Amino acid sequence: MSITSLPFLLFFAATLGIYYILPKRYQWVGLFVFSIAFFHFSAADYTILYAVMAVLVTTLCAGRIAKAKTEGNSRSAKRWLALGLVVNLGILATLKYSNFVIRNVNFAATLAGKPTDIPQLDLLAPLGISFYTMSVVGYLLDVYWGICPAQTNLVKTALFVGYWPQLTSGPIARYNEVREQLYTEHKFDSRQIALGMQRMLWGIFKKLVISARLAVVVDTIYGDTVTYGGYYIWLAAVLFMFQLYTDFSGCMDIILGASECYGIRLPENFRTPFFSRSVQEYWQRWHITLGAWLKDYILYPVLRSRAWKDMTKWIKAHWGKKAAKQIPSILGMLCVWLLMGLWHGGSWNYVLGMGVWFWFLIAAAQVLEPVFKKAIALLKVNTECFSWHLFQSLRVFALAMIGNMFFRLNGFMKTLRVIKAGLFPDNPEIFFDGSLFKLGLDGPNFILMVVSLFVLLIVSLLQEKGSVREQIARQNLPFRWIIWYGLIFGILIFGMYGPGYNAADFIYQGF
Amino acid sequence: MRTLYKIVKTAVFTLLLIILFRVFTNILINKGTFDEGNQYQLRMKEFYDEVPGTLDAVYIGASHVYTYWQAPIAWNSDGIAVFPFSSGSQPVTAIPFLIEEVKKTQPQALIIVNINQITATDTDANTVHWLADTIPFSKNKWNMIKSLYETGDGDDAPDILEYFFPMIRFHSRWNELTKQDIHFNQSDGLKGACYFSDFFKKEVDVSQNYEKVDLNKRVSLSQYGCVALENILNYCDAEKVNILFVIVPQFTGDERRTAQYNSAQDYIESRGYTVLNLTQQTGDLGLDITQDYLDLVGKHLNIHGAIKFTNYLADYLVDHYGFENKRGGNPMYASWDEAGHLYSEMIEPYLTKGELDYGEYGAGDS
Repeated sequence: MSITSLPFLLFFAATLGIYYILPKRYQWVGLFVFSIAFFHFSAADYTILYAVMAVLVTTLCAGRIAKAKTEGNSRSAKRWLALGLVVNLGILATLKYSNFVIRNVNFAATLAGKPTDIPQLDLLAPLGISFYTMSVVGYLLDVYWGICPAQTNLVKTALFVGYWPQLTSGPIARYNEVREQLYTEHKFDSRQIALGMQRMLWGIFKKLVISARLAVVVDTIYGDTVTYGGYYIWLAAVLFMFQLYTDFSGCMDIILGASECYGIRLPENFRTPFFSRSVQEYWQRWHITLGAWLKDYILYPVLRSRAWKDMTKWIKAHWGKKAAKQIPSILGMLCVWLLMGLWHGGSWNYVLGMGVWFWFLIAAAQVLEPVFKKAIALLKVNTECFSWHLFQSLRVFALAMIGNMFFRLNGFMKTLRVIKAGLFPDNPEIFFDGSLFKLGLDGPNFILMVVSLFVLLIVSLLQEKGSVREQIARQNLPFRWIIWYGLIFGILIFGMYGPGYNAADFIYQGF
Repeated sequence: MRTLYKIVKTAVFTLLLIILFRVFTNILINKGTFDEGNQYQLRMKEFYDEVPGTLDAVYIGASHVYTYWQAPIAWNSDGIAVFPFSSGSQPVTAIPFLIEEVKKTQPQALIIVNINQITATDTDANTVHWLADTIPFSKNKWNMIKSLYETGDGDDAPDILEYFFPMIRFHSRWNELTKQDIHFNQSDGLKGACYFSDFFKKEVDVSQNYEKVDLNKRVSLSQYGCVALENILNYCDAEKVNILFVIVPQFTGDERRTAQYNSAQDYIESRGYTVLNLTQQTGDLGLDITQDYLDLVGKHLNIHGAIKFTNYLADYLVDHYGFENKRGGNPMYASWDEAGHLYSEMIEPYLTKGELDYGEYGAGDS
């Protein structure tokens, strides 16, 4: 069920109606039933068994961990934690990374002169497995660390794992963030529902009006990089950044808006990432819940581990204090970024483009920070003015763009070939001779795409000053209604949907 | 009090939303080729503007209706009000529903059904839109769409929702809108008469198709045609519809088509209904097949042929159904007088002297 389809919206409307008609103490049961129904309509029914297994194991392990902790039996707690992690991560790894391993084993065997041909597996992963596995793993660790209590009610755990709005594409919710909201009673609040729906509309607008148009141009260029070389490559790279952002953040707006209508606020996943002034900040604003998860559940545990502490001591003794401060954290970050890449897909282009590339940028920024500071002082650069901030944001945009090219173009070598085709461009005329209008969008549609990107920029600027919806809510009724109607009819008229248009799957839907 | 305010606010918001939705839908739907004056949806829409209970007959069918029957000419010549309730490639499977639609406002009217489209084998999505997008929402429309959807387009069938909400299909027309799209609701006042440029200017010799076909052959209709015809006749039986079936003269050189018309005629007559089969006829109509058609396939008449056909059918209707002449200042028919006057003026430059003979009445003398 596509998140922008009419069936999705009808499903949402129907469940919302039922939710507020239900006796309040059964609202959470309603959510659980809606989630099962959503799973049924959106994925192969049998794949729910994987999710059921995750729920059973998680409930059992969390309960046992909490019990063992109460009894002071940390060894038992550790065992139950290990079991929970192995089962959950095992299911994820088997379903999503088996073929990655098989391909690499075959490749390594060929290199070693003993070619093998282990056949790839045709496994179907359940909806949202990458997202709910992260949530579940975080939950088990939180229970183990005593950060949150264990949920012993199987159905309540199932609701946490499979809460339907976040099944498609996250965000990766923490149990502590949602447990009160999921199971508590919610009063009908028209203002809250209006705000939630407004956010959904904005998300649909971003997806159907902006992202879908950008996709046409990007697909045209990347579909034929022999014809479309030089500046076309960079145009596609820039537009893909916006496509990915509007697609993913648009989806988040729909999910968070829908959830808000139920009275459940899920964590934010985006905070105007293109205004970031460093790559590190970019990842604090882009896919926030994934970055935070990796930081809390991978980076910090790794840095606090005995092995790492021993390594830090060794480095300090042999290479000095400064190295001991930087090298362990850089290596810890490497673990995080390798996982970040792998999470995006079992392929080296993800590992290198979405993982190692960003790790390299952040590590380089950390190592070279004193050099940059000296250069800024030497050149007397004013770092507190708009132009410097703009330069920083553009720099981050360009660097992230390279990483995202690996994400978009399937294949590491292919991406390098495309980048090569864009080097030393000699076709600046494409920006003036109407060539841009031959990239799958006619003139009016191309102009609409540019205008809608400006709308996105204005909204993003307003977002930097606070909630845009709150700002709109403070306006007089006619203005608010104009915004509502503008959004609704903007989507209905300018959205790319209906016959003759095959809506591309949500880019992050396969995760 | 606060709750009441919220309810009222929500109701007003929803009402405005529905109004705006209808306005935008009307602007965006495809109405035909304006630059050629071929607004095939307008004549469907204008049917609903007719004063209830005033029409002598309603002529249902596809382009074989509106390129043949010019209602203002018949009004000028015989004072009869026969409105063409027709749309491009109108599916025959829709006919019972269209008759039902006519009965809502013109229950006294004779139903004339053109069945040249009976040779079709499928219902195309566009033809459903041309038809359904102009009919006001009702249970009958709902049933019609459901029926057309079930018989149409096979695997290529679009989502049925687009027939109820045509914006789904036509929203992408926003970048090709013209002034006429925005002023679509303004009637042209011509009672469904044709006025696209080819209709006035083009003269094609289709005589090469003549005599190629055996006029007496019979061949069975397609499954689609059979079912459609059976449904129409069953409906007429059940509702006791006063109906005349018409097959207009076509010179397509397609023997199979002619044979199918003959078979359809046989079957309809066997069920006790009248068929005016004018296939491959020139005689009484006075058609000159070297210059009265506008397309080489001989399916559509130009203005010269249309005048002859209209005069022939008008006389036939007066003779067989006793329609009275309603000209002479009856305020109920003021719009018909106006249409007659307007259309005469419009076609005059394209006609030869004496081509338009209104007999005892002169054009626009009402």
